[in-house]
Amino acid sequence: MKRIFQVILLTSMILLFFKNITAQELSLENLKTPNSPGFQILDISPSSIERPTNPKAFALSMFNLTSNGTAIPKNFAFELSPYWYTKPSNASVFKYLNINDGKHHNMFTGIFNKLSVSMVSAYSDSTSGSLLKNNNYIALGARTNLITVRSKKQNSDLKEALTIISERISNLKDNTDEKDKLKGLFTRYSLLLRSEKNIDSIIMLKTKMNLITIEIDKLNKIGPNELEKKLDSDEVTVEQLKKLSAIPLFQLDAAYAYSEAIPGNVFANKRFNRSGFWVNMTLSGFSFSETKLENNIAITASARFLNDNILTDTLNNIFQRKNSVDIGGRLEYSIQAFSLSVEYLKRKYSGNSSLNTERTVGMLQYKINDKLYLTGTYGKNFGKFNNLFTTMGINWGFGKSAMGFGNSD
Amino acid sequence: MEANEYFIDGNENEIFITVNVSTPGIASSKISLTFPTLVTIKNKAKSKDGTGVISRTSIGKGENLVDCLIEIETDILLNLIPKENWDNCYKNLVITYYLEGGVDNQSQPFICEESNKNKSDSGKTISVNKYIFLIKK
Repeated sequence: MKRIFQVILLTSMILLFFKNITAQELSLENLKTPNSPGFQILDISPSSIERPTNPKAFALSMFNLTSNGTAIPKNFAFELSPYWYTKPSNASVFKYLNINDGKHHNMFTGIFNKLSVSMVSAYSDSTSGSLLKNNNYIALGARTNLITVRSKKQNSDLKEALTIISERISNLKDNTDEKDKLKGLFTRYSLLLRSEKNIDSIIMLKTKMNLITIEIDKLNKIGPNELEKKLDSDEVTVEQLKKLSAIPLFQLDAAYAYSEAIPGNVFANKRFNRSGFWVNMTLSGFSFSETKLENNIAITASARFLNDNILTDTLNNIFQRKNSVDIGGRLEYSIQAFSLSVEYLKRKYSGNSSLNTERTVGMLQYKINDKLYLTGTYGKNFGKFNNLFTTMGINWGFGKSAMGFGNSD
Repeated sequence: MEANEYFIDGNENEIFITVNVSTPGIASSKISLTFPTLVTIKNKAKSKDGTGVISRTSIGKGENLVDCLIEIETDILLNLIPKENWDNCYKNLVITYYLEGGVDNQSQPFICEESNKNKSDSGKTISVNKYIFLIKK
């Protein structure tokens, strides 16, 4: 497993620094809240129980960027979603939104659509929760959505919304008479060209056809901008698009992560830290205002199965492998720009109840605008010492600054 | 504007078209027919459910479609997809166009090529214009 881990780690690093950075500029615009499985396995994500999302093709997170002034930050994470790099032959909005189209339930389409793999490197400069002082932690993770179920009414509403939007696109798309005339002339010249023998006439017809082609291309090129402008200001379309954002009734997500600790940042000292598999079941979509869909309650139940390497003898630096189970849940209420959530996880170790521990964290998030989030987290992390868990910062979701992140005593 | 060619016999055979669109975005497709007489028939067929798919549809008899230019327009909205993925949606868009009723053993299907695609400045809206000439063999 260690060998595999090292190979994956090296490959990922190479991919990260040579492929993605060149293919997609490494800018802080890709910052996002670090809630990937890699963070969650280390207990340092703002939330351990995350609601399902549609992953970005590639997301890079960094926190404490300036920690040691190193060129390659010790604290970073990236998450990659393979779906967005493939050319599926049967993708559809029904599959993407898990809508029952009458022939297919599309409950399981999220398995690949929402699959993401992540890698995290986090440095701990103090013993906190399950992290030890002066250890660098490397974690690999993957997560996906196993099942998404929409209610009968949701399926019906969403299908209706798609039909209306499709009709609006068709009606608002500018099909000018000018283009029809050009196409008509192109067709006529093409017919003449096929029967023409005179070289001069052929050249003349081809020239005319080329000019028409250029004009049609010009009209086609401006088409998307014009259509977008019309649709963005079309009240019917905007209203129907909002309906399509309805949160599914039920979602079952799964994740796996594996981590190693590197004491003193010396690779030879590395040891297994923790691996885990977990599932989250979310029941949501209870909107109190059905017309506006501006508030929701979501209840998530979570179960995690961990294999932990715990420091049992601090004097002799002896670690022991222990199996544990995390059971808990999260309650989230969101209204317009505000989101308030509280989560609780109880960790039970098999054969040693003295190691049992809990985590209770509350989180408040305020969406200032589409690019700017204010996030505050407060609570008790796992472990018995230094277990106060607070994060406070501005998360520039697609902005230009790093997110403040850290534990405080 | 590049036009593909599909050969027909110009007899009473009906010509059918099928358009398959593969995208997670909301898509809408419609077909228009233009003749050398400068007449254009708009919305000969169109998709209705947001997938952009036009299931097998007759566009008329071959004898009435000689030298006709088919335009298949597909517009795709990516509003529901994270902005970071718009570019990938554009690159990975797959549209296939099947024609039936013409001369046998022709290369099929026609596909959406790079030159057929356009997108808005933001990248949120994609339009594809495919042109196919129906030519009497």
